[in-house]
Amino acid sequence: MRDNIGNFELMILLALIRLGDEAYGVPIAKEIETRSGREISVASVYAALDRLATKQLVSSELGEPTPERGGRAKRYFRITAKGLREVRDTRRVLLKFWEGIPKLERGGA
Amino acid sequence: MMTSRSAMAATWLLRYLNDTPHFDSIVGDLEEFRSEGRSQAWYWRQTLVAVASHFARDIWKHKLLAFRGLAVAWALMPAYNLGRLLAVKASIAGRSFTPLLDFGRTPALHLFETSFQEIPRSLGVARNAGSPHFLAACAILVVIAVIFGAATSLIVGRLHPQHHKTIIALYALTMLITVLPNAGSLTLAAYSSRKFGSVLHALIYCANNTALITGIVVGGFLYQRAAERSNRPF
Repeated sequence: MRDNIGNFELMILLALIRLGDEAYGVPIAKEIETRSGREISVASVYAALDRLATKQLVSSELGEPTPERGGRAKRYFRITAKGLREVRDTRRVLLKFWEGIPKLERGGA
Repeated sequence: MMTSRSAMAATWLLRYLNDTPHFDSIVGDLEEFRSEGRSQAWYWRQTLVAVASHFARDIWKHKLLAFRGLAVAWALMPAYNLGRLLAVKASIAGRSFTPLLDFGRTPALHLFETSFQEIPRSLGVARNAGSPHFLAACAILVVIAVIFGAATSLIVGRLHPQHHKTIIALYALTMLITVLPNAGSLTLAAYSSRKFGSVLHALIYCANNTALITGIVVGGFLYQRAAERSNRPF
């Protein structure tokens, strides 16, 4: 059975794909803020990453502590093969839904 | 740039999350954002959202435990009301010592209220007995409130070692929600009547319940400290 992922979780998975090896909390939050144009909560990013980890769509590992983070280590996240499949499936399904709604595609009501 | 005292206060508040797996990552990320020049308002917004959302999620995930914690704490309310009534009456003993409680006049359900009406009645007697009796009764009420708040908080914490912070915070919040309407109506009554007795009643109610909520918070910190010292649930 497929996992259902929400809009925010999908944004996080796409951010992980874009960021590659540099995906930890700060760049993930910045990526989503830049592309969605709205402020997001860092805690909500981690809550979503937690849910994605439970579904085995992401994995994580601890990096080195840095001074600008008050000596706290970064936690790097990476999308898993299962996560990639989930993103592809979601894209396919969403594109199917978009087909036949030309008014919305042109920015109409 | 954010003042260090404000940052310290926000980071201290974030310690509420310190038993979550991503506590260090969240604090580190916020610190990194802050070093890049994010505003004080942004940092506080992030802190409050993180704390509030974790609080709500924790309660939702452990609804039954939260309910049990509140039930235990509130079930002790009659003991608190009877205890402080006994203490106030004892402080004026010899002048007008009356039976502890007339259940015909005061339904047992009223024992669960923070605005237990027998207290202001007894304080009225203490006031007539003279200033020393009245001041002693007020001081006793405040001390009992702090002790009761801290003791119930410790009991709730001990019953829920894994979720003590959330359940104690919920207990303090329910107390605040219960107290605020009464405090508001007493203040309004005092303002509209402008009688010294009404003002005094409102002041004593507010002081007493501030002491009670402070006691709950202090009890929470005492429990937390004891748990940290022993490095295991207290």
